[in-house]
Amino acid sequence: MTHGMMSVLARENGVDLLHIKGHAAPEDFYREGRPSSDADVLVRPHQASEFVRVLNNNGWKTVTSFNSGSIFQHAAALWHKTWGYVDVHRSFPGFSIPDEIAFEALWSSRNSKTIANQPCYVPDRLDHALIILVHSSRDPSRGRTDADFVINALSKNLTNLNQRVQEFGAHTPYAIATAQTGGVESVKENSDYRLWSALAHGDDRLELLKGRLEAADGLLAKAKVLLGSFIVNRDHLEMRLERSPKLQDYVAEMLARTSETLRSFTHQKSDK
Amino acid sequence: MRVSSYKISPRCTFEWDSFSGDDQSVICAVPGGEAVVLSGSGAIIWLELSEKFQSTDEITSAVASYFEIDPSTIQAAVMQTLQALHSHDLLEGLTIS
Repeated sequence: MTHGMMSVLARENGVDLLHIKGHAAPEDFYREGRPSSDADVLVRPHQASEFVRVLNNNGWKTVTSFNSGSIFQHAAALWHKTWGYVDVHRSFPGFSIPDEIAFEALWSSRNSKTIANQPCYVPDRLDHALIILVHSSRDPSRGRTDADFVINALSKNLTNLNQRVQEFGAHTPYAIATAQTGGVESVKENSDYRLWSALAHGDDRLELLKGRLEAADGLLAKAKVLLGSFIVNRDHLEMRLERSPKLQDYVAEMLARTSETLRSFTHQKSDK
Repeated sequence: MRVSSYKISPRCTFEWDSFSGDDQSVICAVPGGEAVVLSGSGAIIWLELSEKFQSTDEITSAVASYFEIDPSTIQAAVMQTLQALHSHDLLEGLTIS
């Protein structure tokens, strides 16, 4: 139903929106019975904030904003008391080309799928496979299964899929998701390899931070990553505590992060 | 003025669900509105509705035919249901003076 709602609201407000993953994906891309609780949509980047406001005006409450949701700052999570969660993406982690260009490439070859009586725009079959595979590379729990299923469904179209990987600049996450020996070797020197490897393996905060630093382009970007790692994410803290954080909560969280980082660093040094 | 015909609103999202047994239910909603769940005869009424305007007589006849009963026996109940669905913005109505 949530997908249907998104389609109506996007249409009425002139927002270009693609429904991705889960119930929006082709039927043979997931194993039967695989649960999918959230609805994911990808919005034309410059329209994303406006669409979140539209959702807010229709009963959806913002749980995490674009800037606080993830390290990629790619999506806002919203909650409706009846319809549950929707993740509004303004970009897709793993695509290294500019966000507006990536969206336009997906939009220009879109298909339509009827969900809850509403026509819903979805990426075409090949692009949807790429999206699911790239996403699976940072899902340590279900990523492997999802990737194998999609690869199996596309067995006769892998050459075209590889072409799409090139066009979207998704080499590293794709190679990790598909775990092809030759493929992984070819991306190990990429600046974003450590980051995607850390995500795929569910590595600790320090390894993730090192990955993000290696992937960041330029000194300013690296400085932002380093600073951001010690600033407590209010939305995530509130979700964890299930209440509004107080000053002592922020202090405790900051101390815990610093302590954990130092402990990891000390542990690594003593191993050498 | 009275509403003479109804059709499913283009803003309406709905999904059918099957519980154990033969009963089907359908959940309907428009963005910003409340969810409405129809089951039993309500679900049959929804089944007969479409995205094209149909007169209330047509809808009543279709539902009566499904249950193999005289339309006059259910006309009031069908009208009441259609009006309720219309008030939830799930249906669009065509009025005549």
